Amino acid sequence: MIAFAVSITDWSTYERCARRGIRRVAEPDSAILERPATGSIFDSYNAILDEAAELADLEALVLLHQDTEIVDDDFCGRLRGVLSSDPEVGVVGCVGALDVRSIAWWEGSVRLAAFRHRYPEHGGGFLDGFSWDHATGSPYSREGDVETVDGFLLCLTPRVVRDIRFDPSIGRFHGYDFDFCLQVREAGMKVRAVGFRAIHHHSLNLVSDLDGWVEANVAVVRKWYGRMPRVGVGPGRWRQRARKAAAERDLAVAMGYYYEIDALARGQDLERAIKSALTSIGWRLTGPLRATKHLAYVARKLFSPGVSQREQTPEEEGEERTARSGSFIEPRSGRLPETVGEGERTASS
Amino acid sequence: MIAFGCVVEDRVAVEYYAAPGIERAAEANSEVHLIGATRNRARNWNLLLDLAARNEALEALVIVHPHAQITDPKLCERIRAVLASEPDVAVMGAAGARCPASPAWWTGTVVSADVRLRYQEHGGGELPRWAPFDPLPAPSDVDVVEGSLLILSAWAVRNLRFDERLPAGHGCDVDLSLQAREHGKRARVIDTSVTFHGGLELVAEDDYAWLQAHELLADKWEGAFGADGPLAPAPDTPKPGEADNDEAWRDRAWRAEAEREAARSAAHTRQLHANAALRPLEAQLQEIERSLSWRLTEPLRRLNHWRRRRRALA
Repeated sequence: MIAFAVSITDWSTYERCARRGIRRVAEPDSAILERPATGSIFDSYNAILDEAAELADLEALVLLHQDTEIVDDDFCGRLRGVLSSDPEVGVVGCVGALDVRSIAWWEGSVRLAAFRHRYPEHGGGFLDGFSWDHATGSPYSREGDVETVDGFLLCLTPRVVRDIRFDPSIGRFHGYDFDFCLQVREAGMKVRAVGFRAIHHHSLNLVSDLDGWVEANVAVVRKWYGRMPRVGVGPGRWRQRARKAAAERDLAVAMGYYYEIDALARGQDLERAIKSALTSIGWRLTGPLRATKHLAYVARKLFSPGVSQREQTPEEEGEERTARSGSFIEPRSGRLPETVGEGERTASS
Repeated sequence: MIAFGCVVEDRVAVEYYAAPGIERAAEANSEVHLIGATRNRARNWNLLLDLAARNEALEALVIVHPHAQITDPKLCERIRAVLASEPDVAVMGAAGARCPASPAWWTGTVVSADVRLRYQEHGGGELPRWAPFDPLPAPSDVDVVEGSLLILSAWAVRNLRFDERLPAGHGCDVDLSLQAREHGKRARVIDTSVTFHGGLELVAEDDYAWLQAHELLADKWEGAFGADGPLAPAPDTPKPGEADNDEAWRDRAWRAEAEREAARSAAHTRQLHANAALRPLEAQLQEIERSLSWRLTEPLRRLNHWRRRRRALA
């Protein structure tokens, strides 16, 4: 039996994301542990592990963030296949990396990233990990053993559920996944990345509580340096490393500044191009054509039967985004209803 | 007499930007020193100091970056007013920061006068140069001054020198400001205006000279002004004389590396937000360009383009 567990701080997010995915993939006999968070994520997850360890016939425990939505219909079958093919596997995730030296696993060599990051800001949108689309995935996208997986989706074997616990001395939220994977590997088990797909409904702010993140990073490195290969290592003497990292930190701040001012410049350029297009003779001459098309579109919408309310597949999200981007035009300028008509037509075609 | 100096690192830039600005701001008796460039900015600027120091009547030296254009015709008046009312001010500029945590001056509280950035990327345009740092307005005392426009009092010209050890001269503006502060003098961002004609990028991501200069300045200045001053020592700073491999430096290295990853993540977040915020505009433009109206009138635009080109050539 494959069990699913979520530590919940926001029930509406859970309903919208994790529960939706669990409903999609759970089997009739799957246990679903929906538990309110208690203290830190370390404490909450440990309470869940204690409970799951008591479950009879447990094949695997799937620990999900409340904002993680599994979208792989054959999730249980694939997970079962991975676990039965290699009994040494202890943890499975869908995003994993090699040469990981700190909790910033993305600074290592990311091996698999079978997720979609769906964000709510700026009207909403999504960014796909490089393994999301099997057909167009990166050439280095590979399923296989990794050093850590991202904690937004963790599949644990019964042995791990029974024997290993999250270490609350690390902090309150960050670093729990990397530390857990290190414990699993120290216990002689493998950590594996498998390309079952999940959507992470998450803000564009990649790391919340940067100070807490820094503290957790230091705690994990201090705990594992010399105990596991790679963790906390780097070239140069300690003083050189400290100075160099401080310089690179400030350079990163400068790059953030550059990204922001570059976007302002791109925004100016786009606004200029749009203004130039909308005030061009050609655009003004063809105004009646667009108005006619818009009227035809409105008429079609009024007299055609209602749109199906079924759930969207992730593949359809691309189309949805085109449609949403059409709607962005509406509030921007009073003189664009004709453009809205054209945009929506593009989306519906 | 207020002198002006500029290192001709880029002749075209000097002709188009720095020189017209100097002409606008200089007074009838102002000396203008234009010198050829060596590879090190600190060395170039030291030569400017030597040349300016020769004049007994020197009140201040204005060092102008080749890409900086002074747009304030009353600059000399403003400099004189500051020097008269606050004689302990030794270094002035159009932007700077209070209490930077490190040699990267923008890690402090940024203060900026009316500094514009005229860029060429993305079709060109103009933006407030330090806007992303949410700067406080000038005038204001600072600890370090940014070097696009650097104004030194006669005392500073005669008593301070840029540190030529700094690779490519990176950070020599910060260093000179800190030297002035060490002598009990003040640094100030004055209420003036300047336009910088240059790229959007502040520091190139692979600028190793900048990284080296940062390390050198940290070694030189960290802790020099106590716990409340610029480049204040971190709580875990090893004591002088501790060997490179001591535990304190190890902990500090791990913390700095963690902060680096956090800063990179924050920068990436800024990039994601910036790109997402532009998406509606991109979509709007794309829809216009894909529309039937736009495609139908393509020949008209081509004709107009051809006519405009022909007129320009004529």
